[in-house]
Amino acid sequence: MAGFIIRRLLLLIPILLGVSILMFVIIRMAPGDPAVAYLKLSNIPPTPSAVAEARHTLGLDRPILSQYASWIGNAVKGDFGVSHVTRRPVIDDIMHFLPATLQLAGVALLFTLVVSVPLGIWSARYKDRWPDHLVRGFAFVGVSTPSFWLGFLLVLLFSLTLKWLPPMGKGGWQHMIMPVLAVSFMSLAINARLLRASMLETASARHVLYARLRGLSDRRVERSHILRNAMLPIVTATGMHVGELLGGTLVIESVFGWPGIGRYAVTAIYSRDFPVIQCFTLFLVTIFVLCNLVVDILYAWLDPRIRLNAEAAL
Amino acid sequence: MRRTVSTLALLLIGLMLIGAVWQPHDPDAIDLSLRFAPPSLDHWLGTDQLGRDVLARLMIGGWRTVAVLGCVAAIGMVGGTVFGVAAAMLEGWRGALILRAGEMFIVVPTLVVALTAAAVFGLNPVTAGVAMGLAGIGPYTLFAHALARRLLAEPFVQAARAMGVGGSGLVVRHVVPNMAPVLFAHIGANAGLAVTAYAALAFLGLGADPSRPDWGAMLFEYRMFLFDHPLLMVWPGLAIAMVSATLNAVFDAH
Repeated sequence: MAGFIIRRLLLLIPILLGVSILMFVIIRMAPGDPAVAYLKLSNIPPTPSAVAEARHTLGLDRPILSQYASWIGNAVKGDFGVSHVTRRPVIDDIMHFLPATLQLAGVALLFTLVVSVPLGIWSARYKDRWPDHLVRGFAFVGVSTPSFWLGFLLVLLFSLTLKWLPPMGKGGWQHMIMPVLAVSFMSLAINARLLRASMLETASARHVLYARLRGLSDRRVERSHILRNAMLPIVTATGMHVGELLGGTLVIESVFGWPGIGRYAVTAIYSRDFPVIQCFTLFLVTIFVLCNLVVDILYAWLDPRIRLNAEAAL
Repeated sequence: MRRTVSTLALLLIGLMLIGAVWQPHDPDAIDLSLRFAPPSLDHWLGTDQLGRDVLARLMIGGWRTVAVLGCVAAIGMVGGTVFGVAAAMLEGWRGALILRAGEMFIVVPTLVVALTAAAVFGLNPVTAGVAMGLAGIGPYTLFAHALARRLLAEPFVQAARAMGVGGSGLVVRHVVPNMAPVLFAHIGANAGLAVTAYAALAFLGLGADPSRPDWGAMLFEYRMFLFDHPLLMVWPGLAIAMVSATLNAVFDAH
């Protein structure tokens, strides 16, 4: 198992290298001189001498390969450069905004699981009856509705019409309700649909028939023989959802004025604050890969067949 | 049910395509005497804060959405087919290299890359579609590879090979025509997500350009009037949700 984890972590290195090169190339292809953009951000008139000076400080006068090499050299040491806008080390800024995002994404993930699992069970239990139609209809709407539009509809209903919830900002738990609802709606719908399908598939397996023949109650069969096996795809999906929720905060944080890294990154992209964009992308990729790793470990732990196969392969 | 979905899909696609050449009004015609007009016979969905016809703007936005979908699908089809078939035909390290690269692309955060590309090159359907298409090429390559592998093992392909059909003939005549419909359905199943992703992009991105009415950009522009004129926020969102839902319904049945 340790070997498996280490190998997967080593795989992160080429992935991060690839993604950072990709972003580096996109950013360097920008029309217009980045040095001029940099001066504009600092409110310095772009006189020729100022531009030349900025080019030198930003290292733009060196060949692109050497620029990338020095960037990567610093990045390995945990130095991702300085934000052109805030003038603070990028990593400090990200750490400053990260807790709010983790709070939002964490609650959203919890909410997704707590709501989607009962919905999926309910839908599968009453297959082709009205609870099933209800959940399926809800899931269909869920995967088709853009999260930020849902956010505005929620604001319209709960803040403007009913005046129950604050429309934006971060404060007490009331501030979290609408962003969490909006950002988790899609993953919630996907999860419920997936669990329903997976439970129905498991329900036709032979071991379930055997459990029924043994005279076990419907609830007991559902709990111990169907649900336990049907949960595996949910584990995979949840791993993907962590990445999606973090990506989704990009939009939702802007809608609700939530002070997290999503909004920070969007502002950075607006103002072409390249060190921040670069670092944020790598950060997202790392989280995504780590989540997948955790999922694979969980999977092996939950399913002895995979665990034994993996051990045999090692 | 199936018929209803198909009819609705055709109707929507028809409307979106018509939007390319004809709108009920000039989408950019400003009429300050008609600000925030409610839906009427002349302006079916009402007008916005500058008196512009909302339906006309929605139709242009629809056409732009079709353009994005076209780019994403074309890149997915071509890229997935080329790399997937190449990986299946080239055994050994070259095939493995393509697959590893495809796997790497799965973890690329599409929205961030597309947003950066939009910031760098300006947001229009082509740049957004190309960025989203390229960022999504990895999963399609893996899918196409699995398809091609399975087809290459089919008896009719084996028979063709035994009759002396060479590698390229095999690919062009037997593999590609048989995998294309399946790959297209697979890409179509993700098209709904591409619609919402482009809307998010236009919403976040450079929604400031009012002469380019994208649905997402319209939501960005009209969000100030959420309180006084909520209908303005309803129409573009409804358009996104309906198109995305229809695409999901059409391709889900496959």
